Amino acid sequence: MKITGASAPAGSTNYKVLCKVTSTDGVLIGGPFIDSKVPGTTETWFDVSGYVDQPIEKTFQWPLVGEMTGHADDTLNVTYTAGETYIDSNGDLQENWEATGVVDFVLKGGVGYRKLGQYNDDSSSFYADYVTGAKFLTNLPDNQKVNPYQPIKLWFVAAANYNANLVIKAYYEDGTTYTRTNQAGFYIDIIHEMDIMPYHNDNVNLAPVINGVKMTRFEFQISGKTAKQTYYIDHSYHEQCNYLFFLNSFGGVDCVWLSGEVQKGFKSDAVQALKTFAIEGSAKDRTMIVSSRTGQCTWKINSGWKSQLEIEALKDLLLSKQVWLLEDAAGYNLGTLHPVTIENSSSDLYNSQEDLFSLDLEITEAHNNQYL
Amino acid sequence: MLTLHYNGYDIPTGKDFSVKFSWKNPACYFSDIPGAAGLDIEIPVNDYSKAIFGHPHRFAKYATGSDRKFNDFEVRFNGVLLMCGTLNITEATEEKYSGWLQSKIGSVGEEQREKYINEMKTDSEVSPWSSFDNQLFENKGDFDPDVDNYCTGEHINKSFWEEIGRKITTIETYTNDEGEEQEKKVELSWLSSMHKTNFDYLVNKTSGGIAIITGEGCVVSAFLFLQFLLKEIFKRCQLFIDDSRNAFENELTEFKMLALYNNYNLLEPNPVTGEDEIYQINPITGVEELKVINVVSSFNWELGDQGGFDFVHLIPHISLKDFLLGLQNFLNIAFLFIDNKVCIIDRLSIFDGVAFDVDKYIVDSWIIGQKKDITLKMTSNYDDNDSLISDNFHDLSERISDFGEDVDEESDLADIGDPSYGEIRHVLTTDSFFEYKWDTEATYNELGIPHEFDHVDWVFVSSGPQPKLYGTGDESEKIETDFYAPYTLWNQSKISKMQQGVISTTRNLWNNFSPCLFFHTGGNGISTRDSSAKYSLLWDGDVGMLKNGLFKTRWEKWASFWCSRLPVEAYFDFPLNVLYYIVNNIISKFQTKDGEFIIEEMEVTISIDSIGKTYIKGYKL
Repeated sequence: MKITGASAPAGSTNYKVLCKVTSTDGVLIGGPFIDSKVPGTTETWFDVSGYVDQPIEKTFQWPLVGEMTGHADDTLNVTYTAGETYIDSNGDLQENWEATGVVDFVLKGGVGYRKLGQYNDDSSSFYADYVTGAKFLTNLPDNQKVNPYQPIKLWFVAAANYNANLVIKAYYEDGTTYTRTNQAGFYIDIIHEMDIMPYHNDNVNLAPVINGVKMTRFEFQISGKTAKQTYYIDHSYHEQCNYLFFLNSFGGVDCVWLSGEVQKGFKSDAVQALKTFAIEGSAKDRTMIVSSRTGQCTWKINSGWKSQLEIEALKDLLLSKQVWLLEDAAGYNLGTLHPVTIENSSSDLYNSQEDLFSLDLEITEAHNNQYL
Repeated sequence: MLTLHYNGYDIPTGKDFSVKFSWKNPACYFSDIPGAAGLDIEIPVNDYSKAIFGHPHRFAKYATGSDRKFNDFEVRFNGVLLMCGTLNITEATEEKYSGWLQSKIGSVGEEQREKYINEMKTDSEVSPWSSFDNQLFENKGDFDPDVDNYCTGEHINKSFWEEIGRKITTIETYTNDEGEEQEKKVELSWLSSMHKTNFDYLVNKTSGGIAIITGEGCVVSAFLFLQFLLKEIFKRCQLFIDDSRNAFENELTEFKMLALYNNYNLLEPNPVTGEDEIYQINPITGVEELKVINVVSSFNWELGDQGGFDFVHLIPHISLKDFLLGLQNFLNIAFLFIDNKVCIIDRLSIFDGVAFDVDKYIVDSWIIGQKKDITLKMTSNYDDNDSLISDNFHDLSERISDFGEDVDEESDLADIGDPSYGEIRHVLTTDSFFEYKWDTEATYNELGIPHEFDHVDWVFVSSGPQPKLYGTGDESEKIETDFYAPYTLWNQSKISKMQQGVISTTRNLWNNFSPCLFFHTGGNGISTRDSSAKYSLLWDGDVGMLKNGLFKTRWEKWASFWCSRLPVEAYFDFPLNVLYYIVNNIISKFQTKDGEFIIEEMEVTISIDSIGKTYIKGYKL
């Protein structure tokens, strides 16, 4: 937050610029937050990210229901107010506030320093790039290879309130196409989750295979607003079909198909205690008892072959604090969802001597259970 | 990211940089006002840090014997200000500077806490409180703390002119044991006799609703409103009362009318002198000699220079720490310091507030401590110069086991059947304590010769108010205050003092009165209870209105909790915004699914890119 125009009145001391962050929808806990700083020469910058970086328990559609869902609590409605404080010549504290600014909508997430620097160099911003630029909130690239029943999600923040058409256009190997158009309302103060799997939205006309003819790719766009996002359908057989949902850097939830090999394990911890053997004890009695025992599932899953761009984008997965594994999900709305933690501390992303790449992921269940 | 800032400069830190923060809840402390601290700060020596802290070699050379301090230091995490104050560098090596951050209140406390409040001054004042020198006395029919800085109030002080000026002998009548009127010779100052004759020993005696400000023996005193005094004292520490969190503006509006006693006479009796000749024996030669002296023939009674007076004479000579702690421990309030603002918190409001839910942040579960079982002893330190209390008061708290039930009147003592020796009873109407004991008395015959005899009876042993004891535990904790409420004699409606006064021509090096509070009750009235009689400043309340006592109204609920408080501790995983809220509202109550609690202290270590688990030690409500 940049505040300009501050100047200390004559005779004042301890002059500071104030910045107040106020939650207008009550979602941000603990406010209002008031920060003060000695003013810079011409402008004063407040890093408000710490005040609004409130953890959220991300929710998303699973099993898939409907085409679009609005999440009001995933955006924090906040206002920023500039002010000044100083001790006047009489020794009294003075505090003045400017008019409160318009409501801003803060997404859970952030932009890395490299990207932020790039935005600054280009006089751009996340807002210009993704909101007015109407980009979907994902780092995953265009032209991904996906499973026919992959629960692909796209998330979007609108720059204004409007109605627009959600358009899915499927291409089949016989050259035919089918376009499905569905109007939806977009609102400035919420984040929109879109489930764009063609079969989910029309299981007759957008089925992966119609009369033996396979869908080769499909495109999705919010008509007149966003660019087209294209997905190529991989109809090949995979013995294992798992997906990872993860909260990405922009506050959306991405879905990554893990088509590689799977090793599933289970690790348990036990605490033992000793007791004496009773004089009249039987053969069934024990002197070592397990006082507590907990365990959790573990997986080692290979992502399957992916392009360099897709592998690069998986850095976002490795940074995510909220990940879910959808296990054994070969069909539509099938599979078991587990909250998990990605344990990888360092990973080889790609090797330039190869064209396709894969990533081994070490995954642990995000529970330590006493019972199955 | 955890960052350090000094005077607008960002200070580069190491990859393993971390700060251990500690915050304390002032509501849980009765003998000091705790500040926050940032501990274990280590800053690597590099070109940037050397420019600010100096070369470690030079630092060591110049810093022998004392730490180096850097004011206006800030620690932030992702831009959020976690603590500001003074960085104390305690050690410097070739690799790093080591030190700790003292919060602003800690720094202010270190500089100011031992200062006497009547000796504090702002940067612009040439001498303590000089911006309130030569104030014109506004003799009004009523005073408003939102408009006026002081009030006047009619009260009795038989000792104001004691030991001041020449003495005279006068005849005083009294009633003896047989109910007969007798006369006796009494020696007192001439001014006292005038005070009695002209003003019935009243200070600020009113006529037509305003104080009389002339006449022989006249005493006019102005009493500063507490809220004005607090505001100005804090101002001298560059601290300011947060109006939005001021209990005197919210829960305790009656306390806005509190004012502080002083024994300073705004009137200056300027002597009118004339030359006279007297014979005096020269002590060296032993010869009687004629000497010319200036004899005071009369006084001109007038208000200071051009009717002005200095506020500094109205302020008690007490250290800032004792003043603030005394006030907290008297009224059951707490001062919460946030940056340069002071919140005045009603301790009882903590119980009534809405608990902030932190259940989703708790890690593991609560560790339950051992429930306390203590006896609280609430003690007011009275002014030794107020002989009305000091001559008659004895602390009877060691005799608590000898106390029987209170009685209303002294005459009720005779109706107590079969009292035990050593039994003590509190007579409510006179707020006095009598012990059933063996005693001696004397009668006098016509020649005035005494005849002593032994008897067993109820004997006066102390005036009230006694320290208030609460709880049943063997372990005791003391809540002590230098504030007290003035005495109101049972047969008089007005506050009574027996304290020698001060006038500008005879004043001491410092003001010789200790903090004594009373309510301004409108007009020129002052009382130990507010105008609605909701609160009395006496521990046990006013006669016939025992439910308005300071203990009943302000302390009982807290004492009940504090005497049997249950210590608990737990770790929490707070996000930054929640941590910020808790630090700024540490005095409030919180809750998890296991119930409500208050925090006594909390600690968290924040490293360069993460917030550690926050340790909270508190008490279950």
